Amino acid sequence: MIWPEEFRSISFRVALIYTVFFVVSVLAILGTTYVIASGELANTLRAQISEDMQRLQGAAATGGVEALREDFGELGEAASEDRFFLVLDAAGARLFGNVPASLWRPGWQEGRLARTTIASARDLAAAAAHNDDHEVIFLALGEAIGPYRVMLGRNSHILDETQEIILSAMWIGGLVTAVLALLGGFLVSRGPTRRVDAIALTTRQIVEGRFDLRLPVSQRGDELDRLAADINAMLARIEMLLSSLKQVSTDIAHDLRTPLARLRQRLDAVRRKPRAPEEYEAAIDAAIEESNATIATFHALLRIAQIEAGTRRSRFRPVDLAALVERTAEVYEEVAADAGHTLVTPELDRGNVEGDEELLTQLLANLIENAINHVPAPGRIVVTVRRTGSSAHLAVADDGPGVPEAERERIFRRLYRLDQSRTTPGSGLGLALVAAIAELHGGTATAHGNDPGLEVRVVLPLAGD
Amino acid sequence: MKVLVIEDDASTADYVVIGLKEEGHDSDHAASGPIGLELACTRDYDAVVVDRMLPALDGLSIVRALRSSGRDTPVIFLTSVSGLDDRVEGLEAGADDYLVKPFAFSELMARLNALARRSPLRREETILKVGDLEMNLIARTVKREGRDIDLQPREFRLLEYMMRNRGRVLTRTMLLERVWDFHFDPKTNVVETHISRLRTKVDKPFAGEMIRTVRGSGYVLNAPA
Repeated sequence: MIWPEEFRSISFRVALIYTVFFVVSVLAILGTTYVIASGELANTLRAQISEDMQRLQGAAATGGVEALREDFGELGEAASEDRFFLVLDAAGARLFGNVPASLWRPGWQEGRLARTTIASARDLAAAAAHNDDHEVIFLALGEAIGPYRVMLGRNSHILDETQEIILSAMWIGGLVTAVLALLGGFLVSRGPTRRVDAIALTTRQIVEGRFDLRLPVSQRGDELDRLAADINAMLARIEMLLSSLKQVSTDIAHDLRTPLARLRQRLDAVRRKPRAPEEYEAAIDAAIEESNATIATFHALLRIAQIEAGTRRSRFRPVDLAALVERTAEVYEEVAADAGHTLVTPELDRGNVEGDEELLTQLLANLIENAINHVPAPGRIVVTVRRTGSSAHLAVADDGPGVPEAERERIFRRLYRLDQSRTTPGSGLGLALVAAIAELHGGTATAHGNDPGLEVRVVLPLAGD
Repeated sequence: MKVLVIEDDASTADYVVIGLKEEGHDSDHAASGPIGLELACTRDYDAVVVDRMLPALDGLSIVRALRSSGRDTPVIFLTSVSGLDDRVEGLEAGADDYLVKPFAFSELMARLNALARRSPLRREETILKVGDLEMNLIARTVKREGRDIDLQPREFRLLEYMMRNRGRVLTRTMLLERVWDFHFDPKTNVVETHISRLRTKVDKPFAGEMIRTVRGSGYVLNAPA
């Protein structure tokens, strides 16, 4: 059997379970009421009878037979279709009463009366006429008082009526509860079902390639919203990775076609006519050189993409930035000196960052090499590490030509090169790698003016102690 | 030298096998992981070259299986992507060295030479001697022709590495990895600069050149001729 969508939803199932619990509790409450109320009612009737009987006994004890007879008269007046009494003499003949003598029993009795018995007495018949089932439930106490046998009784059918009222209240209450709960469940589930439908629709569109779409998030901040927000964050990450991937393939297509074309031209030129072995050797060496450079660019692109994917974080360890700068600067001091520059590290604050030492070394090496390669000699390259609050600022500053302010953000893009630096070595990937490594560590890389020159600042979060 | 090449890519395998033959070395070639592991475990080789990605049984598993069977044959790991973690994973599995494809044959040869003739005893030496050049690893002093040479710590490490591998061609990449712990390709002539500084201290003041440049390959340290 196929249920309508609203009935298949989680909230409806929850509503249904609540309905069952609700109905059961309603029935339990009414059932308890039923048992207690009917018990209480029966006790009240019995107490009334006992009380009347005691008064008769008392009258007989103090006033003798005379007083008793007076009371019998009162009983006779009070007798009705609900109150019965019977007085027999010692021989068993009926003296007073509104029920037949045959009903006499000593002690308590309770039960339905036979139809013939009911027909034989006016009040019993009247009592029977009031009840839907034309029956009389007779509750009575018989005792001997002096020379008389006295029986006092009540029509306990009133108990049945109360019980029936409670029972029908139970059924109606249970039914109404069930209907209301089901209806409520249906209504309650309609809202979330609609939202889930909206999410499902968006998801299908995303599957079909609309990666810019996001799941609807309402202002309520409930479970669905939290889930949608998490999924949106995931989508943003996926979109970022996809666009990074797209960027890489575009970059490769654009930037690697040039060296490959150059390689082909050179080989073609050598092949066109017979040449001396030295010429072939030179051509082959040049070709190897050219393909090595191309492979290096490939590697760098793949490395950036891999760093951006963030899988490397599992290998993070605490790294002392100052020590790392000291080690790396030591390697580059002489390289810088050979190129006519000075490399100094005047200020190195200690502080650990959670990171990948190998990648952080490469980050710093790239920045220093960038300065060595782009600054005309004699240049001054200053590397500093400063602690500010919970972050470490690693800065590499030079006094070279710098980068125009408008271009400063773009130098971190893949394969981006300033026109002026087309002639200096480099693949245009060094700073992109710096940015990728900084981001992997939860930090940022930014370029600033150094009046004159360029300062690249890498801000990394310090490791908690 | 006898080398086992476990590589499924025919062109890379040919490149290595033919190169080894031209250098006068024997080699066996296994095109799949299981065959390679079988050969590595049953025959004696001076070195094994194993590709990371192989059908049926990958390179990491082969190295692990080889090491757990108690064989310490030197292993060079080939990785086709410039995988950041492949090197660490390979070394953790028990490989002795790694090389990113595509590689120059001279690079592979230099690394094979460095591994295959490695003598375990040499690790514990306290004094390294090549010709009249003497390095004391305890006192951290270097002498040539009996005269003290003052070296910076980095220069000392560079010279130590070259003396331990005397007579072997050491490529730029090998020096970057072993001496400076640089696992990337620098855009400046880091190696050239440091070698040149070392030469001015170790070679220039003395008769006879010890550090020689091997064109297109790297550097080699020998006793002066």
